[in-house]
Amino acid sequence: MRPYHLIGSIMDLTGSLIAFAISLLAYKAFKVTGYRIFLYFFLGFGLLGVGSLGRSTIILSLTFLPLRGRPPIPLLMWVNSIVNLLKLTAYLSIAIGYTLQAKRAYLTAHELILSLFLLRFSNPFIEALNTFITLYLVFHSLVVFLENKLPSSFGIFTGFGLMWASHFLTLLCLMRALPLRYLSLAEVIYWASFVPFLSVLIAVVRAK
Amino acid sequence: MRKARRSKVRIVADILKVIAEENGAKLTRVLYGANLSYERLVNYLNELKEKGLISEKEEEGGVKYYLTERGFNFLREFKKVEEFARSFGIEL
Repeated sequence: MRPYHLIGSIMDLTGSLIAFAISLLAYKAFKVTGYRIFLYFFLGFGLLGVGSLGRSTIILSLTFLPLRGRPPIPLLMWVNSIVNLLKLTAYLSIAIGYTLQAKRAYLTAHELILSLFLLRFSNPFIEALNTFITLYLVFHSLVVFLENKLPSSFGIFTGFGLMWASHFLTLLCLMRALPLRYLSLAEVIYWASFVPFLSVLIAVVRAK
Repeated sequence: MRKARRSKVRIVADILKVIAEENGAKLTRVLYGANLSYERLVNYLNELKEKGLISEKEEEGGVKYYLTERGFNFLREFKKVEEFARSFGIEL
């Protein structure tokens, strides 16, 4: 096993744990308040967690289980496509949550989902959508941070900012605007994007 | 800037906070603290009693309201949820 496989899988696992923790808090918030917005956050962060957990589990299984013959490249491609779709659905879900919160463009968010199912998926297309949606999340979280100046809001802004940077970098690589080796950097940025969300968990734990 | 209308969960939390701070509050104190009309407050207090979040005791000088264990738990959970919601810019 190469060291970066293990580091990558561990970072994926750590990221999924943080995403699950945020998802759990969102569900708790829904149970206490009954606000539908939190259900979208629950679903969004839950899917991000499932995607990262699934990918790391499969990579670790393939690494540690004895394999006969060639490595199952089609399986890995399928896993990556599914993870990308999960990410896309997750971002959409969080974006809908934010949109509902702002009580505007409700239809736009639903039309966006509809258009997703009507269009054919390809990797650059999904990346372009991920880049677009995470950019929306970045702007929205920035506005929230500028309004309330909370460290946890800054954490959310940074987290979404890193997610956007990762997808934008991947998109540039897929469009051949950057060498493919930058995909590794995009992966590292994506793993790192979960860390700032820890500030939310810290804020909640400290709340008395 | 226009002040947002208080949600039901916020009103409930405000009532519970007043009662918790006073460690047994009279109706008039809750009325001022929670900033509600008499009729609305009575409705809320009845609902909170039914849900086991507060209890009512007849004492010298009138009826006093106390938070139950369940009420304290709800308030603790609400504060955590409030912090979580604020991080995402959501007003409860």
